[in-house]
Amino acid sequence: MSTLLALPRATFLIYRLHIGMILGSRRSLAAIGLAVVPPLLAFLASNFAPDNRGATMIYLIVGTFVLIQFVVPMLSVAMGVGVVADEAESRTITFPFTRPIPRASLFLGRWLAAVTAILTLIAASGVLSALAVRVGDRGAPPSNEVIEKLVFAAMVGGVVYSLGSAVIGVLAKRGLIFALGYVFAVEALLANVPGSSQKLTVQYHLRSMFVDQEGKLWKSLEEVFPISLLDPDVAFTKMMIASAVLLVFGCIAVTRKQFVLAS
Amino acid sequence: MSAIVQAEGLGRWYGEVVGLGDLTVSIEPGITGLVGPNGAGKSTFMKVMVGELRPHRGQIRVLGYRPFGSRPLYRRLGFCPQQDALYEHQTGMEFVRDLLRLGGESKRKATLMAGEAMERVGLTDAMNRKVSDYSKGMRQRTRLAQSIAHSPELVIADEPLTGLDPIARRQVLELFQELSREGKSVILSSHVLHEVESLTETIVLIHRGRLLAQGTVRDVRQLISRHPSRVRVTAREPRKLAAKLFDQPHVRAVSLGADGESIQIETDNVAEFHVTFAAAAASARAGVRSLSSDDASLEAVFDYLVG
Repeated sequence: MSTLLALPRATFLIYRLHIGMILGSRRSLAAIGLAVVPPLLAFLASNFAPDNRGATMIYLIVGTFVLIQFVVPMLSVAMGVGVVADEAESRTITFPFTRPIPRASLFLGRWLAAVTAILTLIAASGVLSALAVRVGDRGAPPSNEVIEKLVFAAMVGGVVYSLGSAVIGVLAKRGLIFALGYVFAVEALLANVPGSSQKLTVQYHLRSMFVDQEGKLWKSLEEVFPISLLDPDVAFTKMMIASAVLLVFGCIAVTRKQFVLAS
Repeated sequence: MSAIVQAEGLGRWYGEVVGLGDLTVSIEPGITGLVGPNGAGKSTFMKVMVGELRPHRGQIRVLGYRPFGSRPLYRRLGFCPQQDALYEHQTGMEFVRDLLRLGGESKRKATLMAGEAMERVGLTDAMNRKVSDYSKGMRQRTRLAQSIAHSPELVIADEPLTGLDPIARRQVLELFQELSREGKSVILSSHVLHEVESLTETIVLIHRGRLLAQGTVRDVRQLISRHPSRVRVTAREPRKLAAKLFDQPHVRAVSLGADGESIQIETDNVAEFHVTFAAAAASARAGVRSLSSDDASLEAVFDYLVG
């Protein structure tokens, strides 16, 4: 079977093999717990926040600062870093690696399984947060357009962060530490420090995707991000290019890397 | 007959630790035992053979292929790793079947082949149970099943007898012999020397990442001219026999056993010793009851070589 045919076939088989494993794992339970945080906070905020905050504003604040800036990277790192690293750590990687499959399929199949879970949780978290802000008497709830844009940006973040984490997991022994270090030390710092260094972060691009800079809602958040954002389409394209590069890099890395397993 | 494995000047390190030093070896088809003490480099050599690791130095060909990431090789090779790792959420049957599917088999055919493999390793009754509920021996046999399920022409098994009870060990040894009769080759590592010896005469001795000796037990023995061969004889009159044997030119030493009925002879030429022994025993009227050569024991050879 040529690589062209073998790659999608093996990827699909590995995806199927691991999707069940991921969904039934303890890590997934922790991920579900994490995904519940934004709706919970949205619910609390809509009931206890100062009266001048409308439902849409609460949704945007929770969506920006809790969902996109904390839950998305945390979830993506936690589930993404082990895409290949878990298999190496559990020493089962020998089995797929001694089968006549392209090694890249292990990265692709396992990442697809992980990202399925990640995106499901992110989408659910985003939508439940929107429902939660409706509970309090806060005026007009967020429109479908706002919800769609925010959830979509969060999902794009899930794709990029999980891919980056998966690549780090392939390359570094303590991938989780490196990945968490990156998203919370580098990203969180740069994304929230005034100045053009924000443009180096994934967060900046995600904000660009869901923020309507002309909208009055954004005006109140503008003080926090005193920097012009990108056109949403440009931001999305950049994120997709970054994802494609990470995907190719991950496939090459896993094909070339030797995994030294303890006996 | 062309070699199934050809390694030349193979070197592999783990930081400053030497896994393989400068290993040059050629392995012919059939059953070959890879023997050495712990840390000798057996597992590293196997990992290089199956392409899990790349050598830092030297070259290796397995069935004519460079192993690392070689898809054509993996169609013809089965590997049973030493590490006790399986996909815990699966049943034994699912585990073997899914790996067969990765090898390109259809679901129906993979199910059939997996069932056959589980039967060959004696796990038919347990194949639909989760592997997390398996005993250590059952897990070992499951790993073995996945290595033979696709009917490879070469099976490489790293310590396949570890963790097996005596009955399972016998089954596995029989399985290897069966594979050999089917024309397949098996390379297995073990430190359970007598078990390797009971399976094959062809051994490769590795120590500190280098080839120490290779061939049949007797071939290997002959390579060590500085070590005498040992023969143990029990007789009615061991002292008389010992006195006669002292006169033989190729006998280096004779010692009486603590039981008072046996003697141990050290000889430089075991073949010549066997020719002249009968005459010596007859003339001494020693009443020989048994004669055994310790040199037929791989354990003895191994002790000589690495001891």
